[in-house]
Amino acid sequence: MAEQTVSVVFAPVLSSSSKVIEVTNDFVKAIEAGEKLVLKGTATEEAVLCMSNKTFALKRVEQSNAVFLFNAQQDAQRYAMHSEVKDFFEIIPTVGKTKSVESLLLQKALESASYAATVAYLQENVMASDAEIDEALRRCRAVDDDGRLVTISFTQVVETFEVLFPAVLRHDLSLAALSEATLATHLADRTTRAMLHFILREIGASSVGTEDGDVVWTITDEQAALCLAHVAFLRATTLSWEDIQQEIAARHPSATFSAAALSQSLLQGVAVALSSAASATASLQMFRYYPASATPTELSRCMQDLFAMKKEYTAAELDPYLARYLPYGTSEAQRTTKMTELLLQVARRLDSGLYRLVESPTWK
Amino acid sequence: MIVQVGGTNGGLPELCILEFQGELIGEKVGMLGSLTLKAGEKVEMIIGNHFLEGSFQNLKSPLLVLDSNDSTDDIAASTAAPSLSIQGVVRRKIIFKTRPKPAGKRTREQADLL
Repeated sequence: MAEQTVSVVFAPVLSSSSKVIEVTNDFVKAIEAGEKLVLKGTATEEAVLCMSNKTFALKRVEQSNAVFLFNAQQDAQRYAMHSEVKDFFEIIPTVGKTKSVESLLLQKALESASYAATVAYLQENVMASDAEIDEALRRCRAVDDDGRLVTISFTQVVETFEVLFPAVLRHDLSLAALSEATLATHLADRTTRAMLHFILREIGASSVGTEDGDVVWTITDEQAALCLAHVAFLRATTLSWEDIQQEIAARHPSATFSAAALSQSLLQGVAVALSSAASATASLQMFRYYPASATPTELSRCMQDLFAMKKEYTAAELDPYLARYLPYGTSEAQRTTKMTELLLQVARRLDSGLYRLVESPTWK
Repeated sequence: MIVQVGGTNGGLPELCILEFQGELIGEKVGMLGSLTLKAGEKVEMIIGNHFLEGSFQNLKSPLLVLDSNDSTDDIAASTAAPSLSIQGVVRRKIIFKTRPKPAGKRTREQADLL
């Protein structure tokens, strides 16, 4: 290649406010594909850089060299340096700080009964990506109801189950094609449409939007049975499997449904079997109500509650409770490893394959 | 506080870095010097009476460049929410790692020709 000499000049206006952040090639590709970035920070916390579904901590990097930026593509004969860079950063993938979501919702409610938090308020005050905030809102059952965030208690969820299925029967609706608008009208005295939408989504029902703005839901027989299992425990916190089956059968709207075909595994994450499967006949197996959706926010308290009910558990019994404490963004591939890590913080595996609480658990 | 970072449609402008070990003293106005691009990614630069040898380097990780969208209008600047925009991405730099040497007569004449 022949030698080429170019002149290097300072641009008429030399910026000193440029910030340079070391990123990855995937990061650049995401930006070029249209991903938006938001910088968030407070007086007491270090800044984070958020994409729509990821949060990165920003770490300042010390740099003593003189560094200037220019665009070599603009003029091959003359490099005009338009910025002197003094601020260098690197990004470190991190988990958004969403623990404050629940307390911010409560704080806003306490400040004024007429003013509730909004999603925009949380996006501005929570150091996390929008997707992480949405997940935190889902976990604390907060619903955007006409622009305001309203939290639904787990009791309200179960009470909605209690009236939903009788309404399906009474109005001759079909679980396979439930109009959300129609159902909301029938349940207007117990729940709002936004809350109903949230609850139906949480039970895993599938949905299809219609052109007129309605949503049509499909609830399977098993999903309905799961909801009715929660309703069964409204009358007592401890029930036999036989009682639970009878309660479900009495309320299930599907004519083809058979409670006898239900497996006790339906209750994993709903109630705890108080004796081992080998020691009780199936119908007399007693269950104590402890829904995973309503466990304390700290893993330690949840585990203390569980092991107070019985001394040993299988991994399958504990999994639905541990899943709630997995960090946001845990992939399916990482799930088993992360669950085992959580479990071994508090329990040890016996030769029988069962888990028992350790004497001095290292709560993290 | 929340600062929106203006996105970009499509590819980001490719910028380059010029890096000196040490400090450039003096008013940063007008001509700095002349840069000669030689074979094998080598570069030479003359800044006043100084001769520097350096090279192009590909960065291990790209650098994203952000700058503030300050308005020249005082009123607009005081009322607008702070924002940044993405100026481009840097994947290569020219770096001068060795101490400057005195520029010889011939090299000074080359610089004068520009």
